[in-house]
Amino acid sequence: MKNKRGNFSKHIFLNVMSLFILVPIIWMVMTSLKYFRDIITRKIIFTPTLYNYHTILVEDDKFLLLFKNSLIISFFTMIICVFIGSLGGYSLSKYKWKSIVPNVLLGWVVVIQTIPAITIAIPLYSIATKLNLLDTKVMMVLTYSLINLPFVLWLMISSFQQIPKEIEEAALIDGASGWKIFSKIMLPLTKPVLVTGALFTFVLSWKEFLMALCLTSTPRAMTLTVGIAGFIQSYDIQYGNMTAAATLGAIPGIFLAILAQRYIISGITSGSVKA
Amino acid sequence: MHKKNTKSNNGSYISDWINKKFKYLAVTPVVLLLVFLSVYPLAKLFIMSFTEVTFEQGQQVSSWLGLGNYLAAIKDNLFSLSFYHTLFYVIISVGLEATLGFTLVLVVNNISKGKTFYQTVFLLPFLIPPVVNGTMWGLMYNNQFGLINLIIEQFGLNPQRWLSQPKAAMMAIIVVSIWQWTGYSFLLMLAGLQAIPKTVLDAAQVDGATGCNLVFRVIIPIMKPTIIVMLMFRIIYAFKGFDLFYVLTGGGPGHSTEIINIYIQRVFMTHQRFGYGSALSVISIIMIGIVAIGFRRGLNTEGGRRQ
Amino acid sequence: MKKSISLFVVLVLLVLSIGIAVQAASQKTIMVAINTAPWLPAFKDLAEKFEDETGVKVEISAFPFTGLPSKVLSACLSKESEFDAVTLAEGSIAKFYSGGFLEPIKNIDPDFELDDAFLNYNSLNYWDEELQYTIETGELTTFPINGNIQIFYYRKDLFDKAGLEAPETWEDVIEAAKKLQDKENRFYGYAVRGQKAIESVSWDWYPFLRGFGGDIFKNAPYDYTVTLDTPEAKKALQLYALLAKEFSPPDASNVGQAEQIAMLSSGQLLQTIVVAGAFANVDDPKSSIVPGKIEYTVVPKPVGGVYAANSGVLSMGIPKNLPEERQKAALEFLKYVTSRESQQYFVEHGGVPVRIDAMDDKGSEKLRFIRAVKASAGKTVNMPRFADSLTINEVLEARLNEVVAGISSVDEALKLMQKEITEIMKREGYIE
Repeated sequence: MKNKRGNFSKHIFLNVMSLFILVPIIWMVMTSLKYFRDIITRKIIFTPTLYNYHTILVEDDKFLLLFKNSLIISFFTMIICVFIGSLGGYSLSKYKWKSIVPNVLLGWVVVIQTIPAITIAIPLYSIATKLNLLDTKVMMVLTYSLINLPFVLWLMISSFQQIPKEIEEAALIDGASGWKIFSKIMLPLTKPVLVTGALFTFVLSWKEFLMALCLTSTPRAMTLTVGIAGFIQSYDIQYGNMTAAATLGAIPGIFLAILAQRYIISGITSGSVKA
Repeated sequence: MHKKNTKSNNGSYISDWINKKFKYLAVTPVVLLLVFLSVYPLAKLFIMSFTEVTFEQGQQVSSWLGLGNYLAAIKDNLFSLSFYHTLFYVIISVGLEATLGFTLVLVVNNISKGKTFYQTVFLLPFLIPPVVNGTMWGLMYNNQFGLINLIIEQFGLNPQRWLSQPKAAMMAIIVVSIWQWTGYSFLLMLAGLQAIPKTVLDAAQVDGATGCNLVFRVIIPIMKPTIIVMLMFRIIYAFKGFDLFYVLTGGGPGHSTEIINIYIQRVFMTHQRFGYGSALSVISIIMIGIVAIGFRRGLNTEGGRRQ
Repeated sequence: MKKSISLFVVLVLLVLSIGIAVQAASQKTIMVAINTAPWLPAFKDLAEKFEDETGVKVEISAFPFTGLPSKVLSACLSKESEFDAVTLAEGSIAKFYSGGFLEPIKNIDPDFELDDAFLNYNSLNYWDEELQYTIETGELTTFPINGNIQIFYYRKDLFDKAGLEAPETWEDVIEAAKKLQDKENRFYGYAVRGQKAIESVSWDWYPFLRGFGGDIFKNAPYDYTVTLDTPEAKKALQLYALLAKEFSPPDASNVGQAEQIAMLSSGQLLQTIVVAGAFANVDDPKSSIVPGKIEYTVVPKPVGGVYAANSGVLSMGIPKNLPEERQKAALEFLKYVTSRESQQYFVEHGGVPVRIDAMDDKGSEKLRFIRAVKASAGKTVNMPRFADSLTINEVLEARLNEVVAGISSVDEALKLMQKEITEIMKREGYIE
């Protein structure tokens, strides 16, 4: 039975939240269409211009290079983390181990997560120099994989644990084992979480600033986020250029997010829980 | 018991072997990546924390200090202050985000139209680099040029100095943090919720569980692993918070929004006391680790029954 | 399954080979580390001209200003620096000098000297290893690149309308501010740069301290006794606090350089101290609603005091951890960008020259800021340049920021600064 009043208040709540979320974003996009003089004079009515976009795309050719770098780095980090994380998570959660093994691994992995960015950037810089991988996309992918793997690993473990035993037992009886069970049965059941983990890995790699700053120096491997930070200059913060670059830079993330929705919303369970 | 591979495909000895050793093979890449990249940094960090590093003639010179750095850290008021600030930030920020995110999940899951729209909208702030977020909100909070003051002036209120008053500054940053991270908890919990097989939920509802009962007695317990992971990592990310604070206030006014990582950054880059910075990092890691272990207890990893 | 595994392997190999292939293209280019700034395009033009003339490619790596020192430090600490020339700002340059990271020029080219046309900025580019300070007895170790010093920006159009002359003393400034400001309508008479950062509020206050005849130390590098509990310092801070309270926007403790410039450009500010290099921002009709209305003059002095314009000059040095050919190549580049022609080109495109023979405004209104820079030559001061300058700078920033924010009184702040800096100096062994 449709609770009309309940539905109405739900939508009010959601709309208020959406407003809170969207107003800054709309302001950001508007800022990207303003001249600096309009930005600092807080004009709500202004002459829109594509000057900022022109600056970053045409005058300063770095933008496209950095965009490409971020795309490549975030994409490969996502693939690696998801692959390694789901495999490892499966092994650790569904097989019997002497408890010291998962404890050490998971604990180690958490420790890596807790290291402040600046602290881990310094030794990584020297590793990169020794391997001659400084200012390369490979190094960034390795670094970001290291940083994001713990999250994916834990996420997958928790997700595998949510799978009821019966399903696995049924599969065993059917004679399947190892890789088959993993890929054909277990992994698909974790799709919502897996896809979320993939999306987050991509986004977190894209957004990251400090390590990209430390480990890259030229458009060979520099990420878009570092490039955008360069708009914060000593004489002015180039809000126009920065928001233009950020708006364009958000596109891959938005695209992936919409794509991911399809895997996260499984039609089966939508609307099945009445609060 | 298992693996009586009666269909012996010739040439699939490799597949057989892979299946047999799957338990170990699956976990190898994880171990490799970790060992390859993290042993050296962690070891170096640990060793450096017992030394002080100075620069002479272009070289790093280390002198052994034993526990000197750690003793100094205990006496360091600014460090403990930064720790309290971080705790405050983490508890309030994460607490509000998680609650808000979870509420949103329940509501969104129940409406019939517009799901994708809301889901995408709530996720948007998370996609933007904190560097940009911080700068844009910094502009919005700005006394002279900011949108927020512009709006409240229209209502006849006085413009506020959001970022230059100690208490207000921290709350201002927390607002941005919630704005930025709610999408994270929202999406993760939505995914976790979606992963509950419908059969389980139907069975529970048949048994008479509805509304709050359903939420607290059935949904939350099943989703516990996901919720715990989400919280644990969000808390760790929050402890490591840096970009937002750096861009919005740089730790000011005074030291009132200086969180751990801002302080450690200063020790490393401004004071250039690498040894001391390493010690502070180790202490920070241990403290956060304790929090994480607490969560770990809740997540039971003694799974499976297979050799 | 086999397919997915082989796919994975191919992906990984692809990534690795992309990385290694890029490595193989080794550079025979000069790598320069610099900060993002409005004059960067002009600098890049100079680099292109250099390449045209010598055939040697120059790659300019621009980083955010606050991130630059850490990039330079990492490069200097590694086995071979990834940069051949590094940009250093006033605040952190002493740390790099004292750490021994930069190669004295005479080790690369024994006969080279900066010619007399170069401004000296109190021996900014000469480091004395024994005294651990920048002083005449030092060795040439860096080149000045961008002569960014403080000058005074004010709204000439409003001054003219009110019949006021260009301000020479702080009394003039206060008089104009009282007369012309309109706080109700967001027009402020003066803005202090109260924001706490690195060399921010302290950098803004320093000319006041020196103007009254005071200083942070008694006689660096010979005598590091801290002299902040002196009548000069008190007068300087009282004046500064007055400007903050009476004439600055309410949010003055959060006003940084970017805000000062934006306030000028948006017609909210009458006068303030800013670096010379920002002149282009306030004159560009796209960034400013008051183009052409700002005039420049030397930073005012206290009545009966001395002129003092603080230096924010950028220098470039050559790291030690480089093979000789690379150092020689870098030196050629540095000589080129500081030649008279290059500096003149630089000025015409938004930079601030470091040579007196490139300070020709050519009668153009666009370059009128040069007159103020020229008039300030010989009146420049600088914050102490020694290995721990950044550490004491932190104390200054924190306490001065508190005064501007109204959290602390002038006396309290001076007492605390005196105490805390003395502690640091004792701890580091500069004083007994």
